Amino acid sequence: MNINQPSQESFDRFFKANEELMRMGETFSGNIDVALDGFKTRLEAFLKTHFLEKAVAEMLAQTFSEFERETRTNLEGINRICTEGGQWYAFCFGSALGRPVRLPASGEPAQDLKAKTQTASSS
Amino acid sequence: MQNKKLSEDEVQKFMQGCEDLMLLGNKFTTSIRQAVTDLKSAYDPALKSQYVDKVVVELLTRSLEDFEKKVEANLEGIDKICTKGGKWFSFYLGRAVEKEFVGQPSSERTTDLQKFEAKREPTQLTIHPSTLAKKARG
Repeated sequence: MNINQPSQESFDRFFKANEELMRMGETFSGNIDVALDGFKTRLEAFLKTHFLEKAVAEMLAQTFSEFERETRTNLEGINRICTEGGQWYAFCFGSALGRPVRLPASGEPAQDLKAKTQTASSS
Repeated sequence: MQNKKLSEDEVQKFMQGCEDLMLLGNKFTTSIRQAVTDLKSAYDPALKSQYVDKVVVELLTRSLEDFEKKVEANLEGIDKICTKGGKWFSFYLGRAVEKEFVGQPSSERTTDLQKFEAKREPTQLTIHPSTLAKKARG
């Protein structure tokens, strides 16, 4: 248990760290997006060749398409947590300190994101 | 711009919201991991069959492994943000609220604050951006 009161400076550091963490989250999901694009490009090139049976190529393409849809939906969710979620952290944290803070653009972040999860898991 | 301080009830709600968001983040990463596993288990039999040329099998297997490694490294980073990051948000918010209430004699407030469990410092603060970023680049 830590009962020492944090200084203003340590709160400022926290704000900065919050921002960095959220930016990192966006970078990570961006990296996955790029990796997905890269794999897709290579896969499509393989599937166009005649070194594999047409039926197999079709099956692989369909499986990948499902995978891509699912992954991108979930990445979108992660991105929103990092962008909107980060703004809400800053807003509530600033409010708790009595600082003037800008209200995030969207109304209810959690509800909005819940809907995304359902989409993500049902697909 | 908003300049109003949060009520205890709002802080409670926000803490709950934080937790929900971080759990959601973990759920999203789990779903992506599962999707990769499903993709692999669908591709494996096809690649082991005689309907695909050996060279294509080798190239595709390598691409898939490479892709999986990159995805896993980045998911690990996101997971850390969601688990450890979430704990730190709660911790700091709890301390901020506590600071606000210092000097107010109400014992109810102190009791309420204990509910936040935010005074407990997370065990590790080891989210070093550079380490995570390096790992994620693969």
